[in-house]
Amino acid sequence: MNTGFVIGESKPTFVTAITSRPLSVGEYIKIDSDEGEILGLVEKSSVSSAAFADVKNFDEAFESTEIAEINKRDKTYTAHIGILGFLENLRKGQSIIPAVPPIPGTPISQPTKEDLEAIFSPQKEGWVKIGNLLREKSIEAKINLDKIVARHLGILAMTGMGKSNLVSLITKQIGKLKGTVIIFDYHNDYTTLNIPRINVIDAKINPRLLDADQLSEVLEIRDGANVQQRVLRMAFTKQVKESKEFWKKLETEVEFIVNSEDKKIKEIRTSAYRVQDIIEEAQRRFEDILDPDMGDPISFIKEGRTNILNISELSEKQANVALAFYLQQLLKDRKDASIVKHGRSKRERNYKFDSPIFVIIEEAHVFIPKDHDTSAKYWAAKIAREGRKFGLGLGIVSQRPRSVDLNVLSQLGSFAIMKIIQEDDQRQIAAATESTSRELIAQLTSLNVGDAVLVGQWTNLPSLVHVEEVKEKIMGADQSAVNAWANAEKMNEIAVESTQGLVKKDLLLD
Amino acid sequence: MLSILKGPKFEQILQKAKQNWVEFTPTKQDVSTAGIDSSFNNTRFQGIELWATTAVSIKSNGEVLIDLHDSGLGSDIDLSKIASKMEIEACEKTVDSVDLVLMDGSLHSQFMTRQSSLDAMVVKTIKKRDNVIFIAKTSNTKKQFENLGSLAGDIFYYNHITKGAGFSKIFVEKKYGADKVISSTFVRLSDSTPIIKLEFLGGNRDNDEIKSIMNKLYKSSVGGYPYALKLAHNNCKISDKELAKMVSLLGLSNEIGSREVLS
Repeated sequence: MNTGFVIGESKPTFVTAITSRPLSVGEYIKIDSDEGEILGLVEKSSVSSAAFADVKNFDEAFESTEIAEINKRDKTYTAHIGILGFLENLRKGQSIIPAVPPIPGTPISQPTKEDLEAIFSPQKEGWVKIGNLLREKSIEAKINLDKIVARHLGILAMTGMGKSNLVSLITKQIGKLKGTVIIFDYHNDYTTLNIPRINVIDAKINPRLLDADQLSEVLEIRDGANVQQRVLRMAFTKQVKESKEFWKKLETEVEFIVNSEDKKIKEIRTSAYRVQDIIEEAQRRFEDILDPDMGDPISFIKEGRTNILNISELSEKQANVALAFYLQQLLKDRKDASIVKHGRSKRERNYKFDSPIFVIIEEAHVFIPKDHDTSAKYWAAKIAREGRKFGLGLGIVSQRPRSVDLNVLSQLGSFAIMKIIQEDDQRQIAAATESTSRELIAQLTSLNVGDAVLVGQWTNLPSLVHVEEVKEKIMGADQSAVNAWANAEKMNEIAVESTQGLVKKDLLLD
Repeated sequence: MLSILKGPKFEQILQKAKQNWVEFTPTKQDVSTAGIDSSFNNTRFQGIELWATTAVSIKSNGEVLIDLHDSGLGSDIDLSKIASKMEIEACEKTVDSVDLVLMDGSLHSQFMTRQSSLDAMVVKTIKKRDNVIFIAKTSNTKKQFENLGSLAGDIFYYNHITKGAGFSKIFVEKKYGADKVISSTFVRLSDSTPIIKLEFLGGNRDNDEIKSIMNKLYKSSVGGYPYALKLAHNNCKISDKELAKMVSLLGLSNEIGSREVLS
């Protein structure tokens, strides 16, 4: 049955249609062209009423309601439709845009359930359910996990719109396939994720494995304190790194600088005193974080598991150093594994992971910032560029896409974009995702919690999806302050009651 | 500016207008109404002109009853006459289909300015069921207060005396002949809306009839103006763009002098 007709000027990638009913943004339609059936996505939809067109005041609006009701020609339903390709090819996963635009007057209709299922719910290996199409709830929306590991993924949304739910869902699905996932959990959101084969690791830093600059960051020596950094560089010798008593040896080395009678070194004595204090303080403050005896941090990551690396205890700088370290080591490990697998090296190489790894970086704007360089950013960018060759996938999650480095963002092959209001964020997304049309970006403000626009290689087509809720995810939801206060009050009452009961009256009298 | 219009006898005219004004708030009466309007447009090509005229009769619910078109190539064609004739033709075909037929414009101007050959046709059509009313949004006639030295049109003074719904005393004009007597009244359908002018053929109208007609018009009016007439106007417009389409259809696009219609 005809839903409408193509009108006005049509293009191979875009048509406008007048329809018999208002179409929803995200709805799919079929254009019956001479070359074959074409699938389109409604990117913008508008309704106008002739009766209300030039209404100037309330009374006129009121009178127009009656007119609009009786005039069946009163409403104009206009849909702006992005052309996705020939339906026949899309069923095979190929998007072929028609060379000739659909001729105005061409009828449009609704695709059948089978049409959509073939595209959005392929019965192929590697495709897993992520939710349902937002406008066709009976159709399962599936994503291709291979593509996100091979070509990376970006999850971008305002806070509270379902980013961590989506991360949990993807993680759960990879977990079912016994894949390896590593989540750098900056807000301790995933440690309570109740899924099988989960491995929670409190991220620690082995200072021996760092270079002097990284150690300086970890110890929180100020950025501009060049002399203190120089002292640390001098003291952080190979012997220190290899010493059984790491901190003691490091302190000894600084002590040596403090006591040195060398004229040049004497000049930096004051700074050396300060470094001494910093090292002493760091041992106390970061006792749980900096562990020279922890061994190789990578060894705590288990293959075939969901590894939650809890970095919530680390300061921003420490987390940055830790992340850079892990990313560097993971890339090296995967490179070595790949080289061995393909027999390209005569040198013996040790590696830990046999199969691909998917790494997820939460709060990516902190670690991969747009405006300055960090070591985590360097390694994330490297993985974004080279990771696919070695089976190391990168997932970037951020609520502030405008602050994430565009070079890294544009390397990502797939995106889940949820509700985003900030125009700067939308612009950054448009710049990073060439396939996302301006109309689709404009719809981001109207999405609800759990709704997402999926674009890129992990789907056959751009789609508007309602992401399934992960029941196993306990943390991350907004906390109810009101409930918490009420519970706290209850607990206080209980506490008072029970303590009073324990006090013997006789004693009180005494 | 207003002080010029006021003139020396302004207050006296207003007093007279107040005496003529009947306050009346219409109540909605369900009737079927059709609006009729026509339009024409033309463009010139090297001494010849392409013209098009339309007339539309349309009901308030958007149902098009009559849709007439004419077009051609010629020179010095009286397009207004063709459009007027089509309008009357549309009216003739509509009078039996609806309770009330609303013509856009003035019966006065029909009798005064257009070809008198059409008058007989007009009269015959209107008399057929006596359900045709001419409605004008603006009026320049200075009949009712001219003996008091009015400077502005009659509608100006009625607009000044009240903002409420009502109508003016019926004014009868007999100068066109016995069979072409025109009764007219200025009407405001609801508070604070512009006044419109209603004209009827025949001199035997009374206030009750005006009230009844106001009730019928009020049912499907927006902002004090019958919606059927608005629809008719919107549906019969021949824009330059549409004329350009015709030029293209006739294969005249490449003719010298045809460019301006496309701009």
